[in-house]
Amino acid sequence: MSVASAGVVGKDSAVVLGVRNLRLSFSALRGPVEVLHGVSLHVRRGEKVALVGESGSGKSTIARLVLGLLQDEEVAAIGGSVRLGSREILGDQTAIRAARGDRVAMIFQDAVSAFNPTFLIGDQFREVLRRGDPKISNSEALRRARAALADVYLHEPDRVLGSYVFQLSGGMSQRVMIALALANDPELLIADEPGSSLDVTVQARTLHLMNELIGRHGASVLFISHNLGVVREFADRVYVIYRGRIVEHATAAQLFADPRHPYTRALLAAIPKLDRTRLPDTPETSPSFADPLIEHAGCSEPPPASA
Amino acid sequence: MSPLLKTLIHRLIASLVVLAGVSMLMFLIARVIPGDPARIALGPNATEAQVQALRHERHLDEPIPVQYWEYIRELAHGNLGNSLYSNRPVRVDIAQYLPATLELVFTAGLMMTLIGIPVGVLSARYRGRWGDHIGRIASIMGVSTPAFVWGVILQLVFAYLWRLFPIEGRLTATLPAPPSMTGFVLIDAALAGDGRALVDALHHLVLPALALAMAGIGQTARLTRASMVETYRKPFIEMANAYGFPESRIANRYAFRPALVPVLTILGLDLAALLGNAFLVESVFGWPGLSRYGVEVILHKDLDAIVGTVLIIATAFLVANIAVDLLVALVNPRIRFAGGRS
Amino acid sequence: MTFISESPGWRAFRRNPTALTGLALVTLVVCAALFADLIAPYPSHAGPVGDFTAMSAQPSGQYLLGTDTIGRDLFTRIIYAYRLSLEMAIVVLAIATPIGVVVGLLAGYLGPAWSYALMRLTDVFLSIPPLVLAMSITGFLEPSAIHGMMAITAMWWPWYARLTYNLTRAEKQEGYVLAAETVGASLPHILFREILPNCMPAILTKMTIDVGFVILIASSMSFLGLGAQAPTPDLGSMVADGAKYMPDSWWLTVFPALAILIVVMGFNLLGDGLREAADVRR
Repeated sequence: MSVASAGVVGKDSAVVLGVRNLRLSFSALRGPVEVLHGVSLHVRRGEKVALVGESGSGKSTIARLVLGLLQDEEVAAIGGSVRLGSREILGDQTAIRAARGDRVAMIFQDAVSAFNPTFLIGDQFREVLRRGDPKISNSEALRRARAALADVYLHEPDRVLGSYVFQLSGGMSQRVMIALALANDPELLIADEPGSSLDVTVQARTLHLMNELIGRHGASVLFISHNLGVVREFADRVYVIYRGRIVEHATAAQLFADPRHPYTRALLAAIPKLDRTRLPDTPETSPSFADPLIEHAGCSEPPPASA
Repeated sequence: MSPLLKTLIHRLIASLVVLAGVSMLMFLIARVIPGDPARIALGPNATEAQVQALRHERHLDEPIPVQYWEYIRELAHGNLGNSLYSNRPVRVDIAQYLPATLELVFTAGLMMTLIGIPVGVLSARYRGRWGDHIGRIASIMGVSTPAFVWGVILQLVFAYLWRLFPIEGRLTATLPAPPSMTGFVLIDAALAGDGRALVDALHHLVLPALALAMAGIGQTARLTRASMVETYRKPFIEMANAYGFPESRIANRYAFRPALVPVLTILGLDLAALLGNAFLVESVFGWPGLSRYGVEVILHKDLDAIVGTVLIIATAFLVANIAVDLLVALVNPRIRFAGGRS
Repeated sequence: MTFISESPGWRAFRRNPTALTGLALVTLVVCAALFADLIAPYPSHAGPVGDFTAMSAQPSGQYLLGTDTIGRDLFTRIIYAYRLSLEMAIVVLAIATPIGVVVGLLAGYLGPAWSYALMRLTDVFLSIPPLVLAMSITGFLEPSAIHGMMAITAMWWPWYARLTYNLTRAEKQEGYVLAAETVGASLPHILFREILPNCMPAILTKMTIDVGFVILIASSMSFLGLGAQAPTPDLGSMVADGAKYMPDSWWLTVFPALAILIVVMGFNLLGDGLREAADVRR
């Protein structure tokens, strides 16, 4: 298999997000519980990377670690490295906090519960825009919020901005969330199963919309999902994660043409069973799921960045 | 009709139903308890004829529903009956004593929210650190100590030992009282432009109000902390964090407002304890409110006065709760738009 | 079957310093009350007669917490007052809880008309401040410990009705209740065998905390002279009597006051610990 040499096929654009050997364990009553066993992944400028695994595999945890959200809680042990551009941010909460909502934005799974029910959408929009420009005037914020909502095809932006989240439909909230995430033109967008709480048609529309906007804004994306079917349409590259380990790393084309890891095959086999109410976990666990990482040709982690 | 108005009307009607229930309950208790109210009222030396006359006058010789109906008819005219203890209409007695009690309760309520809520917010924000632990222990001590004990302790330390505050009363006796217009000394003094009386009244108010507020401060702080901690686990707070909203703005705004809803709702119920405990604190500080009157009429089995006092206190509680409900609706848009409690 | 010592709830309880403090305080008070006759240095001082040669004595080796104005040992009287307080709290809760629980179960399970009527009834009770209601009920009778107990019971049950009502409403939606309904289980079976066991942890927690609060209300009433009458040792009346001799005979007030704080706080902390332990288990 490919050695950890530089990326081979013309992938010389800058690494926006570099996660290297990320480890996480919680201390529990019966001793430490390992959640992440040394995860490495990267996202290059303009790239759309998917991280796929069943619920509980640790994929959402990675997203939260990248944003520094778990570090604020009492977590037993975190190790490894997370770089945003060239800056190491794991353990540097000040640096992560400064990047949140500005250089890095996140789209949440369930937009309805991600908005504060006691504040107008407009208030929350303005707060986010302030992250990009602390001195933004109210009228300028309103203008930009309107424009952002028009971008996601919400035709009555003023009505939306003057609403509370429970006055919007699930699909609308998800669009507002996308508009919000892209409002400050982030370099990196983390999308945590966007719309998976919605019904399939609305979800599909939401994903297409997100894809379109990402293209327009030129953001790099880390796309987190448990659904390989969804990933096929949007991702350039795919990491498959199983129980806190990356088990397969390939371009989307490679992965769907030639899934090699038993766990990936199990995930692929699960796609047809998708229904709109409940997305299934893999059918069963097999010992072979614990096989070591399989990297497809051309897919390897970049060498550690020299500071 | 706006949902807010609908909520208000809904609550007003419910309150009237409850108030009718309170009057019925008190009336029943007063009438089914052994002993002849007329005999008790007139004392053992009265002749049987006198007792009979009073029984007839007060409709005591008629069935209980008729008695209740007569009582309600009088009540509708604002007549709460006559006090046998003071020989005056109960209404007059209450009008005299109630303002002092309300002044005390209102001040204590203010202290309890203005101290309790910030303590709870800070405790939740710095949860697990030593400040949080101290806040929690202080809160639980506040809740676990009866108001009269707080009264006695504060009086001992701040009035007897350190002489920072007067031991008892509402105004210094040698000071000419401001002309009574509302019965609320603070307001009367302010209206009369009497600065000295105002300061003196405030000076007298501090210890009793604090003693009354202590349990409420502890309770409010505990509730606020619990509600804030729960809110911190909500997805919208994670979102606020993920978008880098400043920590203080999350604590004071984005977590605070949703967390306030359950706190306010329960605080409304706690007002009952405040109104009740006022009796204890007034007794410790010789505060000329409803307390002494209430205890005296109870000891004298002065039925109309007891029922009247309880009715007035229940009314105060219900009015305060409607105010709290409106406040909750103001904080929680879900209620404002849906009309009614979620 | 697991041993209780292995359950995560118990483990959480054991590691919770405040819960353990509560348990220690409660154990202390309960033991003092149970073994009052053995512990109290001057058992006869629980009655009306003290030692006239040692009136208003300061706390000392002989009289640990001092003596009152007629020479009765304060420590002895506090211990016997604990006994009375605990007896009152147990009787009140033993009567008020079942009433409230039944009302709450019915209101929560039966149709909206029932729940409206029963909940408005509890509203009536809850809109009168507990102390005021208890006071006025005693007022119609004669002030005494028994009547105080009756009055407190009368005002206490609505709280349990409220709690059980809310719990029942939530449990009603659960699968096991629907299952019982489908197989045609009787109303008492559904209420007491299916729903009630799931409400018990919350009810027991509230009862633990309430032991403290019943004692608090009872002492408040006797502070106003509407509870236990002399010469029965009672914490509230001891504080009231002592307050007349402030600040010179401070111990007459301060120690009974502390005694109230200890018992109420003990049950409060213990109840909080139990609640947190129950949360862990879920």
